[in-house]
Amino acid sequence: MTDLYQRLGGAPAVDAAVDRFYRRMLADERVAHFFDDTDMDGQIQKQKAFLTMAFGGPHNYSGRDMRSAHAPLLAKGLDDSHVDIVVAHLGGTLKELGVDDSTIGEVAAIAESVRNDVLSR
Amino acid sequence: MGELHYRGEPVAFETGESALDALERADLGPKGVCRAGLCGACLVRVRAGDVPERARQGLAPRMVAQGAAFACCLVGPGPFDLVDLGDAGTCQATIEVLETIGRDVVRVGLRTEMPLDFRPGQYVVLERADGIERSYSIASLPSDAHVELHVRRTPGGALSPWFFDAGALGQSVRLRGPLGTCCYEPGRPDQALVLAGAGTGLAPLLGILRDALAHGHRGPIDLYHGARDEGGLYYRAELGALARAHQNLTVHGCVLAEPAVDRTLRTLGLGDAVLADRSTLEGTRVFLCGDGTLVKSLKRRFFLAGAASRDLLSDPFELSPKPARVAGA
Ligand SMILES: Cc1cc2nc3c(=O)[nH]c(=O)nc-3n(C[C@H](O)[C@H](O)[C@H](O)COP(=O)(O)OP(=O)(O)OC[C@H]3O[C@@H](n4cnc5c(N)ncnc54)[C@H](O)[C@@H]3O)c2cc1C
Ligand code: HEM
Repeated sequence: MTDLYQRLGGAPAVDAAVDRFYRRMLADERVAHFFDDTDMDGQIQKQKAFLTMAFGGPHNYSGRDMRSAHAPLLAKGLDDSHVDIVVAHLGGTLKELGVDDSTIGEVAAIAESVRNDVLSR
Repeated sequence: MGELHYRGEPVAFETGESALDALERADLGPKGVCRAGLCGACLVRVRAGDVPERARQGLAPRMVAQGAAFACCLVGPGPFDLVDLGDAGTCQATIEVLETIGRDVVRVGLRTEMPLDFRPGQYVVLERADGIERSYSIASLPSDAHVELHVRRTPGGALSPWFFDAGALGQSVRLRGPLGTCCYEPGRPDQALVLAGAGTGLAPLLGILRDALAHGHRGPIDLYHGARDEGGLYYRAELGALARAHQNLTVHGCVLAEPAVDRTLRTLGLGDAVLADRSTLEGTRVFLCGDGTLVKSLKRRFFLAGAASRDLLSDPFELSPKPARVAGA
C-alpha cells in the first residue's frame, strides 16, 4: 500500500491534488451541497485526509471513523451515486496530473474498499 | 516519564506516546480522529518544544508562524508546552483617540500598557470594564503610535455604540490577542494581490496593504472596498493618496446603489468587480475581510475562479466571539 503512496509522490502529491480535486467537487452541483455551510480551510484539511487515504498513505482511520464522519451526509441523501462521482473526480484529478491509468485504478480500488463504511452498510 | 504542559498545567506523559494520547487520557482539550497529522482536529499551539517536521507537514506558513502543530505527531518525552490555537495573552489599554471617519464608523486609538506584538491583519478581543467583549481587527502597523480599530455602529448593539459616546474617551479596556492568520507573508514580491472587503472589513485590509507596501511588494495590488451606497465607504481620500504614492496600487470603490456624487465608483458587487477585472485568479493572492456571510461566499467563488486555497486568506467578522477553529491550508 505505502508503495503506491511513494509512487504517487507522497505528501507533496496530496498537496498538488487537493485544490484541483476540491474545486471539482464544489463545481459539481450533484455533490457540492454536501460541502455547504462548512469552513473551507477545515474542508481542505479533510480533503487532504481523504486523498492520503485513497493514495494508500499513512493514516489511522477505522471503518467506524468513516461511518461517523459521513453519517450526517447520509441524512442529506448520500448514496452510491455520490461515491461514484467522488471516485470519478478522483480519477479525473489524477489524470490531469499525468498519472497513468493502471495507477488510477489502484487508487479507485482503495476508495471503493471504503464504500460500505461511507454509506454505513 | 516525559514532560508535557497544556494550558500551563502539567499532564502525565510517557516516552513514545503522542501528546494527543496524553491529553485524551487526561480528558483535556482536543480529541483526535485520524492520528496521522491529517484531519486537523488536534491542532494546538506549541509555546515551547522541539517540533518534528512531520507535526507541521502540509500546514500553511501562516499556521506555522502561529506555532500550530498536530498534537498526534508530537511524541514523548518532550518537553512540550502546548496551548489552544486561539489562546493568546491579554493586556490593558486606554482609549486615547475617538474620531468619526465615516457614516457610523469611528476610529478608535488605543495606547497599550506594553507594546502589542501583532502582525497587521490580526484582531484583538476587546473587553470593556463590565465584561462585554467583541472582536475588532487592527488597522494600524506596529510602528504606529496607537493600536487602531475601525468600529461600525451596530444599532442596539451591546458594545459598538459605546465608542460613539464621548464618555468612552480615556476609559480602560482589556485586549486579548493578537489572533488571526489573515496576514501578508513576505517572500513572493511579484505576485498579484487582491484585497477585498466591505464596510469595516477595510480595517484589516489597510493594515495588510500597508504591510505589503512596507515590505516593498512590487506586484500589482488591487484594493476593492464595498458598501451598499457611497455613504458607507470611508477613507476615500487616504486610500487615494496611498494609490498616488504607489504605482502598483489601484483602489476600487464598489457600491450597490447608483452613486450620486462620486462618479469614479463602480456599481458592482465586490465579487463581480474582482472577476470583471481578470479572467482568472490563478496565481493571485487574495485577502477577504468583513461580514462573515459575504467573506465565506466570496472565498468559495474565488477558489472556483482559480485562486489556490493557500493563497486565499480571510478574516470573517462572525457575529459572536469566535472560538478557536481549525484552519488548515
Ligand atoms: C474576527 C472578527 C473581527 C472583527 N472586526 C471588526 C472590525 O474591525 N470592525 C467592526 O466594526 N466590527 C468587527 N467585528 C464585529 C464585532 O466583533 C461585533 O460583532 C460588532 O461590533 C457588533 O457588536 P455589538 O456588541 O455592538 O452588537 P451585538 O450586541 O453583538 O449585536 C446586536 C444585534 O445586532 C446584530 N448584529 C451584530 N453585528 C451585525 C452585523 N455586522 N450585521 C448585521 N447585524 C449584526 C446581532 O445579531 C444582534 O441582533 C469583528 C468580528 C470578528 C469575529
Ligand atoms: C469514496 C470513499 C470516501 C473516502 C475514503 C472518504 C474519506 C474521508 C475522510 C478521510 C474524511 C475526513 C474525516 C475526518 O477526519 O473527520 C472525509 C470527510 C468528508 N467526506 Fe468523505 N470519503 C469518501 C466518500 C465521500 C463522499 C461520496 C462524499 C460526498 C459526496 C464525502 C463527503 C465528505 C465530507 C463532506 C466530509 C467532511 C465532513 C466534516 O466536515 O466533518 N465523502 N471523507
